[in-house]
Amino acid sequence: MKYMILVLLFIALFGISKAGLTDNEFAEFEVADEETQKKAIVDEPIQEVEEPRKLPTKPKVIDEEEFPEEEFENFDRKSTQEESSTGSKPLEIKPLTFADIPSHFRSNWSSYQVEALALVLISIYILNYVYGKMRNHGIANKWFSDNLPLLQRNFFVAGDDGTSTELEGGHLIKDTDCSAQVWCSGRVGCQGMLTQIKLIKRQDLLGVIMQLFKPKSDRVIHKIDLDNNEMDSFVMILGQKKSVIKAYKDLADLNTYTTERRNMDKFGLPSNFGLYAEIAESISSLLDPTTVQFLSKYEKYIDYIHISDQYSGAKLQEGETYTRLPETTPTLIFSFILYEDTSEEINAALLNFVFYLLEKIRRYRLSKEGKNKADKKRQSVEETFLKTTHLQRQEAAQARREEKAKTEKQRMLEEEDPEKQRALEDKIRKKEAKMRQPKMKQLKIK
Amino acid sequence: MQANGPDLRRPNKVIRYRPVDPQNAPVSNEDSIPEYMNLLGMIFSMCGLMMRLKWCAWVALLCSCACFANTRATDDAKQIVSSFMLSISAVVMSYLQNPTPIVPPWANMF
Repeated sequence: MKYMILVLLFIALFGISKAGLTDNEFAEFEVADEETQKKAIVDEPIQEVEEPRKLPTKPKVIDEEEFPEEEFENFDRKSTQEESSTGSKPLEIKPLTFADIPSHFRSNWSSYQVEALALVLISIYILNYVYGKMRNHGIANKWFSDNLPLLQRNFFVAGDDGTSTELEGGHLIKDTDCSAQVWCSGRVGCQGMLTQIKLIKRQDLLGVIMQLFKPKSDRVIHKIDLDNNEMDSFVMILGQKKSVIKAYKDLADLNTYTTERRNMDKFGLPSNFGLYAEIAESISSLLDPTTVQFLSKYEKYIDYIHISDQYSGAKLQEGETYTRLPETTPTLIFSFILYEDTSEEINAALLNFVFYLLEKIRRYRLSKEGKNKADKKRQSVEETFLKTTHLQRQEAAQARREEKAKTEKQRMLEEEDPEKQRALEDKIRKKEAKMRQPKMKQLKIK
Repeated sequence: MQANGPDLRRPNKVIRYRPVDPQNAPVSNEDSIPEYMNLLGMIFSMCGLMMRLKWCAWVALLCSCACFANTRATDDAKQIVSSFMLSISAVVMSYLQNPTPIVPPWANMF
């Protein structure tokens, strides 16, 4: 009994699984809404399968003469139509193409030409930087070592770095790769001398290329800050015409006090020199035969010599004005051109000339007329400055007053308490009434 | 003109060196090259990174080099280093995204 039940169960399970398979086999022919169509569809492929099976048997049984080929042609057409109606299309095979993958860098060196050029340019730039920096430092160090003994004879400290606890000279301060500074101090008559060595930008390839179009030269600029009352009141500049004209345009004191002087021959100066001076007598006093001889001999080394008791730096840009009178200091500026073949003797001669002229200016005094003229000029400059600033100061004060009144009104409007608001309003009204009244001085009658 | 006279040195009159304040120092037009180069370098780096132009990245690197060579004593080193880093990253990123070489302009001539 049990064995029979097991067999029956096994048969039932087998039947269910087969039914499931048959359902899946013909699932593509099934239509969801109509069950009858399912049966017809299930039957059709069986019939279709059966028909082609039947057909090939026919020609064997019947003679070929009785059934012409036309009948079979129709069959052929039908079979192709049936194939097309079921929806099977032939696959379109595209031709195979290789994906465009760039070839590896190691196997393709020669095509990286622009990159190689860029790297070559960068390496040239770096090499030029190293070479230019070394050369500039060499020039600065050479000048410093050549002139240090003379500087040490004239100053107590020559080459102060400003940071060492003990006063020891001999320091050349390198600001950038194309400029250096030497600070000397401890001399009678002056606070100190700042020597700036400004060289061509040899470390920059662009600078080197610009040098071909706009040639510049290496410069040594000595700036001496004199003590107050060490020099008399006059302003003057002389030197190469180009440099002098440029300085006249840039510097405030030259622009304010000096006028152009012509006739270089009259003073014995070289023809390519320019001269701007405030007081005529100072020119002939300073340009003594020794000085003129020196200037003629070392003409190519001299850029300009600027002597001023009112030095205040560069002129302000257009549109800017001074709020206060600028601070002025009596200053001497000597700008010399440094050549690569400048010998130690020439350097010494130029530096000695600086000290010679410094002592001369310290001793020189203007005549009474010259002094009066200079003092008048300085006074008029001060007065014009005060006038222009007075207007500005008035405008600033007016603006401040208006701003204050605005804030008070704003405070009054924002005040929530009505009593406080009224009090503030009264205060403002009183102030306005007082402003409107003409200002009269009260006189006490005794 | 030779200094053979009395000793004019005064030890009690020594004034220590004070470096020029960078904010107050006047900057002339000729000295503004590092600023221009820095700005150009940044612009080219951004063009190279965003528009994937390799030549822009290389030009940015050259501008950074020029900016470095023209630095003043008062300039901050951080700015130059960041400019270099930006230009190098522009070059590296351009080649990581597309390792093909730049087509040279003379390639079409031959």
